[in-house]
Amino acid sequence: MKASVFVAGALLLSASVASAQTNPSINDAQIASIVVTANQVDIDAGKLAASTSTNAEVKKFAQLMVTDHTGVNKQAVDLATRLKVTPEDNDTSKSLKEGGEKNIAALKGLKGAAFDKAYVDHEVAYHQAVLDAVDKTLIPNAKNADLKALLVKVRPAFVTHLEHAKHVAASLGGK
Amino acid sequence: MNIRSLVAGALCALAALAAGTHPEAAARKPVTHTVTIDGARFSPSDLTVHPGDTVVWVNKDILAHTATAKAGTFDSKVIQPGASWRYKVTAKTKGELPYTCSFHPMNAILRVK
Repeated sequence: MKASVFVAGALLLSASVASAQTNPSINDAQIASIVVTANQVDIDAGKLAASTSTNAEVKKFAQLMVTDHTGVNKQAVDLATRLKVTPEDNDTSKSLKEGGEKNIAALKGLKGAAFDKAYVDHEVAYHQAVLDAVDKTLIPNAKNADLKALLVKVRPAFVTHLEHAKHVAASLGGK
Repeated sequence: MNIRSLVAGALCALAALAAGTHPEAAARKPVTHTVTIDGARFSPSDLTVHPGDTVVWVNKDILAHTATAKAGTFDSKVIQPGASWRYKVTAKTKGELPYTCSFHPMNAILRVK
């Protein structure tokens, strides 16, 4: 069924964020781009889920993702502006964007419980992958102290989202 | 009964009242307590306060949060990153006030004694 598409999507995402780990030359402008793209991808999926889902818990979670990631992105953009860093596209940010677009396209083909499950399962995988990237790639490679501090600051938010997404996934049942 | 014993009795009664009934209330001044919100957590997550005290929730997190009593006793509404919200505790709300963030799964408790 479609589930394989999402598993593949999640794996692709993990692979894309993992690829940055093998690239020690990642710079702050690229990190800024990864942060902004990662947030934007989740905002887009959240907007779709908030308007498509009829499950109150899924809707609430989706709206929270839009609010929280918009807030984080505003701070990331403010910081980049203050540091005069122009986010620079790179392989990781590009695959994040592509993965996000594929996820949206797949979700648009689903309805009801299948949509909810696909969205929430992807959110679990997505936050896990982003958290891994933050820990293994972004924080270790960030050179500017303020950028590093922002990443450290944002980490618990992703942990909370991951736990929250798992909770919502459990409430939907393992169908 | 003479005046002297009457006065002594009254003083004794006053002393008993002061010492026994409201020993701390008489001496206590209102205190301002700070609860820091960071990393999607309230800290301290268990706080004991007294009527007349003020609790200030300071949001040092990157996310917006609320401090919302589960029983509806208080609700900060949105506290943006960098903002704070004050709540004055009254005698009417004595007891345990579990509260949460209405957005995120965060739990804490205010004990009004």
